[in-house]
Amino acid sequence: MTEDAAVAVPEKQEPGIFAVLRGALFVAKKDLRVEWRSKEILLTTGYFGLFVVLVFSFSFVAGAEKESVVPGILWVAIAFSGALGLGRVFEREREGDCIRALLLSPIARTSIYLGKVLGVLVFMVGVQAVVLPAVWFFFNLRLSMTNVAYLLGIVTLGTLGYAIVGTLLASMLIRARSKDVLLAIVLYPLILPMLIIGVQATGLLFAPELNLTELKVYLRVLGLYDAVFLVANLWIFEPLLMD
Amino acid sequence: MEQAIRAELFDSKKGLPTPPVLVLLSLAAAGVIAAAAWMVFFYAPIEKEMGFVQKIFYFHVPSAWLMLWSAPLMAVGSIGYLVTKKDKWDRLSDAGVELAIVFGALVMITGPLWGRKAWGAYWVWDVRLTSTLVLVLTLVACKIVRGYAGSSAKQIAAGLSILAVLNAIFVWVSVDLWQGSHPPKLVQTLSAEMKSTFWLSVLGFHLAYGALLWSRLRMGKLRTALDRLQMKAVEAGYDD
Amino acid sequence: MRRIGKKTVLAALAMFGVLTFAPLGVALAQTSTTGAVAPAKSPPPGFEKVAGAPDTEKIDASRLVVAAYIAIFVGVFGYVVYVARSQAAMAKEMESLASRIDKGAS
Repeated sequence: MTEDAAVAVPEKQEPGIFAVLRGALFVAKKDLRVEWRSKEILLTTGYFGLFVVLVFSFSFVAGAEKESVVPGILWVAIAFSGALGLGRVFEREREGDCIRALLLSPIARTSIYLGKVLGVLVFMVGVQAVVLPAVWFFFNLRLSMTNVAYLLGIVTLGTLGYAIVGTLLASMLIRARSKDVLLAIVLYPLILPMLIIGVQATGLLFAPELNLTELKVYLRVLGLYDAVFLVANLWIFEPLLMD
Repeated sequence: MEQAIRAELFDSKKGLPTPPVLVLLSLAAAGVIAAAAWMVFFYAPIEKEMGFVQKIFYFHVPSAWLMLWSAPLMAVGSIGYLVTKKDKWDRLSDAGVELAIVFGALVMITGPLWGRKAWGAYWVWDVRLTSTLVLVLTLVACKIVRGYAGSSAKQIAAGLSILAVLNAIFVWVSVDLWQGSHPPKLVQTLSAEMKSTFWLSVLGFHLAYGALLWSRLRMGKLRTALDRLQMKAVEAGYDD
Repeated sequence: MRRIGKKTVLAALAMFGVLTFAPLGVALAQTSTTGAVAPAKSPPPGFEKVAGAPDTEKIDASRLVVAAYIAIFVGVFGYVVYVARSQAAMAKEMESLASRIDKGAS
């Protein structure tokens, strides 16, 4: 069946970069349209993220040093709700064996991966639209506009890295038996550098004086993390989903 | 195909013969490690600053090196497997992962014991400690996934071990930005007796590593052969 | 089936254990009797305490060294035993399978 389909697809030569990106946009648009109709993932994960923030706020309510607590809470909320969302995105793809149809369609594998990354990124940004204001509200944060801009930059780069790594892992495990637990097991150690840098960089924003040089180094390392893992995953993804 | 493997690995008269070179290698490893252990306690002097606890160094550092050797091993195996889909690359990758876990665990145990004396705490969030911890954790996750992921477990394990190596580098960079207190490279600063003890220990550990890797690869080969044989038995209707 | 028996493996391990642990035991006995051991001839400059460690650290170093030593031994030889055992189990299974297939074929 797979071989017949492969024969039927005429284009075997490498698709150009624009074709790949267009395919990625198609895949992402499909995911977002499905989500827009049900709003299931955004609602459940966003709500979950809100609760993570709340639970942590309760447990640290006595602590006066919010500068040292807030970055941790923020990134833990991102990490937890992200894992939840990732699981759902790919569970949806598995229902009715949609992933097979997607793999059989004349879209490059690279496009499928990139499209999924894009979709996950949009979901996670949606969740952070809930988590970030919640953190700001419950902890009485006072941030200048520049710091807010930096915070958004850090969170976006971190989320991108999360989406890049998480999408690969979730798609790897799509056929595995106990994939929810397995995803959590492999995801958290692999995003650890991103979490470390994210927490450190976010912590800088709450300092009385912004250490801009250090912040720039952190941002650069985050960007490097995203780039390196994107390239590696594009390579790994291709031979991984052969069947 | 399975006949060839059986003939190579397995003789129904003699059971599973161990290649003599492997036996020699294992004996040599045991001998050199025993000699190194003797030198550690009788030949090498007590270190001035740290005293007796510094003797952990002679086993800690070789273990760490072997862990580092395992990383390229498993990366090569994984890349080879993803490219060629040949089982032998997967066996190399699996052996590398396992050995990295074993020696990584040894590093993680001996290191804190030393740190307890040297730093006053079992654990500090230092570059090497953290990246070793994360590497070992990722590799254990990789082994778990291999066990439970089902049909595409080999591909997943291969992909994961590549990511684990990349990740360890990033953990290194990120923690390096953050803090550091592990002693820097010390080998050059050792006195002559310490140096010879250390290098003998390194030799012993590497011999042991060779023997372990060889045995592990043989085990993988045997596993493949067994799987084929089982398939054949099922085909022939001898399954139970 | 003739393969390296359990007893042989255990004997080899015990032998090795004695060989590696004997110097440790003797060394410990010596340190406890003579107290201070002769200091290093040429004090190497490399090892230095990290600033901030409490000066009152008076932990028995020998206990830590013993623990590290045992960990190395248990780790490496635990792995050897694991490989040997699973290999033996697989060989056994293979033998029975092969003999059954051969019997069926002839």
